[in-house]
Amino acid sequence: MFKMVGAILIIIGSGITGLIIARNYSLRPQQIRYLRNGMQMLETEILYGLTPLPEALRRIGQRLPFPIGQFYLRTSELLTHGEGLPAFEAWEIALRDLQDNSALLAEDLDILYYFGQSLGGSDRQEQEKNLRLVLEQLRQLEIKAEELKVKNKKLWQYLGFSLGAVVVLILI
Amino acid sequence: MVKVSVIEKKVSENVLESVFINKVEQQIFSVFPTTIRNLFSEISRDLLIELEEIRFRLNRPLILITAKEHLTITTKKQLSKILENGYIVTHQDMEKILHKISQSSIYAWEEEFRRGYITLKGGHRIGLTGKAVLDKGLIKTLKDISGLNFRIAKEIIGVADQIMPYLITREQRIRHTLLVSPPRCGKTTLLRDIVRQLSTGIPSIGFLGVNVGLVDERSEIAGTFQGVPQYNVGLRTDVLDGCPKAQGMVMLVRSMSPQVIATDEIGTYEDIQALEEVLNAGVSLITTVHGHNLQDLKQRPYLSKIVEQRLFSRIIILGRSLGVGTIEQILDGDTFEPLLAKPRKGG
Repeated sequence: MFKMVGAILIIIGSGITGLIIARNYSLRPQQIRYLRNGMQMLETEILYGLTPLPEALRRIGQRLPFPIGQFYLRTSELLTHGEGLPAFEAWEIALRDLQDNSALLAEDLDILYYFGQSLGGSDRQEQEKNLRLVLEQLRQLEIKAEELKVKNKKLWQYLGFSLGAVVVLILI
Repeated sequence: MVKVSVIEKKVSENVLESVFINKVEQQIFSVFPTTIRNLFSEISRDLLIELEEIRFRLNRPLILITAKEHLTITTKKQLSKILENGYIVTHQDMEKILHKISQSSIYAWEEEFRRGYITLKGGHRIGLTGKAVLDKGLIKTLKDISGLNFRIAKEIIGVADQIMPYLITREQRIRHTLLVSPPRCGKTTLLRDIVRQLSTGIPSIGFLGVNVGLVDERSEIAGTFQGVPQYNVGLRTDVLDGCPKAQGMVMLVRSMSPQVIATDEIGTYEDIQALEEVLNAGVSLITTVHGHNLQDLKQRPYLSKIVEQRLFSRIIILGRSLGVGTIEQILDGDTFEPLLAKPRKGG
């Protein structure tokens, strides 16, 4: 009886771990897509609306789901709070929060980090170049993430349970 | 009885002063970095009230300008007339201020950078200098900003009270008026109050108020910030903000049917052409020009023409002989006869 419960716990435990990994594989392309949407909105706000960053980021943040929306909102908040941080610093701090809350990988965050360095600090033309670049980079990432998802999602969904079962068999 | 009214006047003046200082602190000091804001912490109220400009120049001392003198603040928060002792403005200070006024969004203020100034909430203006970036020979924007000049806006409601009767005929028509003034003599402040009074109406002389079109090319008269005039320019005033004067005047005549058009600092050939169009449309015109007296105008090619054609029926000359905003003379534009016996104190 005791053995039975232990075996079931092991299988459930590793099964859930597998499911979480699988979920991350499917969340990542989705979150990159939201980021890309956000950047497209930012492009419109900057190039056509000439909206100052705090307002632009706030509007974008309100239209995107967690955690991506939260990321834009947080940056906006940091820009206006107290003495106000320079855009790249606010962006960096918000990125750190995003890292903890999202399925994004280091390579995704790196791209955002470099984009943030020139955010707001130059004229429209420069901003346009940077936005184009980051949009293209995100698109590439999204394609890659999508491929990984197709390859790994199914795998991990079963792999966790199977591994659990193997461990149980060995122990028994 | 007399004494009470004097005290009342003092009290209301005090209230006005407090309001003004609050405004300066909230609207101007709030964009300074904390280090600089701290420097101002021990500056007396009296000086704050007289403050006209605050100038930041990279690697040079911070300078405060009043009507009387130039001062600096030392790192020990003391005022000093010896500018070398003052706080030296650093690159970081400039960056922080620019960041704050542009809300970290330089791209959103390209047009302002190109024109060389930014209007703050409250109508205060910041003049900018730096390195000009050219595109096909025209200034595209400024970079490496090295000089900032905060011009503190002063709105004096009622400053035009004593001249309004000269601008309105017995039939309640508004005369074409030209204000002539050297810089920093209260020309814009006076024009703003004239616009306000024409627009809102003047009960004391039974003037009801008319539609006024205001072409505010440099956002100085209405001090428009994000589309909202920061000054009281009257109930019936339509403001075309940031619009070139010549085009703006013609546009307003066609679109808003104003009885009066007001604008600041005319001088180019296009301006004069637009003036003539406005006059032909039967619209009264109130405008200003830089100069010390009538003689100055006659030496300028386009302006001499309009003075000699007697387009304006009132020419008001401002100066500083009795303090800022002194009305030195009011001339009849047809006969060039003076209408004042002696200069009058402004306000």
